[in-house]
Amino acid sequence: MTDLSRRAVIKATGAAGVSILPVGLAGHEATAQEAATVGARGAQPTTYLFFNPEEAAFVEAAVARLIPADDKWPGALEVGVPNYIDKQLNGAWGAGERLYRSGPWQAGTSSQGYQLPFTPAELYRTALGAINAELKAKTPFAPRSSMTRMSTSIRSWPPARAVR
Amino acid sequence: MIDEFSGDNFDHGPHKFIGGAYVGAIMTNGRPIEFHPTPPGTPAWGLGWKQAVARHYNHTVVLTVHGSSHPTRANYLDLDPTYKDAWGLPLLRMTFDFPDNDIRMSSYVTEKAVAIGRAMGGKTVAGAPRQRPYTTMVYQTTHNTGGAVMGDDPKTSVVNRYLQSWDVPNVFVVGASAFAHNATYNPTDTVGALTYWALDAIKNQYLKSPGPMVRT
Repeated sequence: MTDLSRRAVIKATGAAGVSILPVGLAGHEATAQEAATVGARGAQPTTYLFFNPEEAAFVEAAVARLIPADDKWPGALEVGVPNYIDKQLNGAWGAGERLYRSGPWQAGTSSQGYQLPFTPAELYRTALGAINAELKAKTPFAPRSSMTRMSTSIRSWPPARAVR
Repeated sequence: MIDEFSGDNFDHGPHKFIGGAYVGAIMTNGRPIEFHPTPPGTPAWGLGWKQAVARHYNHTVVLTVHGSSHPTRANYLDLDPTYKDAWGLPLLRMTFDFPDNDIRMSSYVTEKAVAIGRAMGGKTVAGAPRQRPYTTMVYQTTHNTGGAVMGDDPKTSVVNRYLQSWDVPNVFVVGASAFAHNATYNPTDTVGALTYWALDAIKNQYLKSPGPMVRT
């Protein structure tokens, strides 16, 4: 399950509805400034039910880059987008409740949409694991945000519906 | 909503297509995850994207071009040879792409809608006519029609004029499956009318004398 190529991981994750930054863009800058912004705005601590701390750190940094805070409005991190994704992944949506889940799986065409065997939860876990493994091997990933430090991680793996 | 460019309401002489589309100012609502219009050239993410969404979210009008879709031999439904449902029955397989006719129609009417948008005073007006290949990744309305078409010949149709199966007379197929041609507007009213028509025939003819209601 973990031998997806980097390209496949990024592409597949995008197909699930949230674009994850290509590794090259994400590497160096989940800044202290972003972490500080969270504290300054007094965000509620997030209790993660799906993401482990390492996964949460990446997702938090990624959404902060995708929709950053500015001087007028908070960004995706400040309004709790990682929390929303976490709860979706931990529930029926994450378990692929409405997906057709019988093979055989084929590459498909770009017009046919999502064609991988993973539930969204499996896809995130696999993709985030591969991304973090690669980041560890190359550029150390960013320091964890204050939100992650506040978070409690309760792992819920495997998901309710097991891999075939 | 304007009807000038739907069906046969305008001169098709030089256009090399039949059919058309209505043009409507139709805002279904402002779904915050789905609806975040930005002008062409806006970055796909980041601060520039966010600020563009904030600027344009409440200052955008959507003009809908809702067009006809013509049946062709290359577009069809059949039983999938591989994929099955929870009961082991084959899934329905759809083979579809836009025929040249519909691409030309969409291009023509979208141009008209863009001109309307400019006349409305839009600062930025962007048209998105239909393109090949058809993709399931973008919502393009879901009033699919055809699959068990009505006709007067069992060789070329599935049901007779009462929506009764030619092959099995106690089977009636009620729905937009009866007609393969989607003529611009949503088909639900037509489906309702056909349902009344079929029920009337079932009640007043079929139940009195079960069997094929059309002899060939």
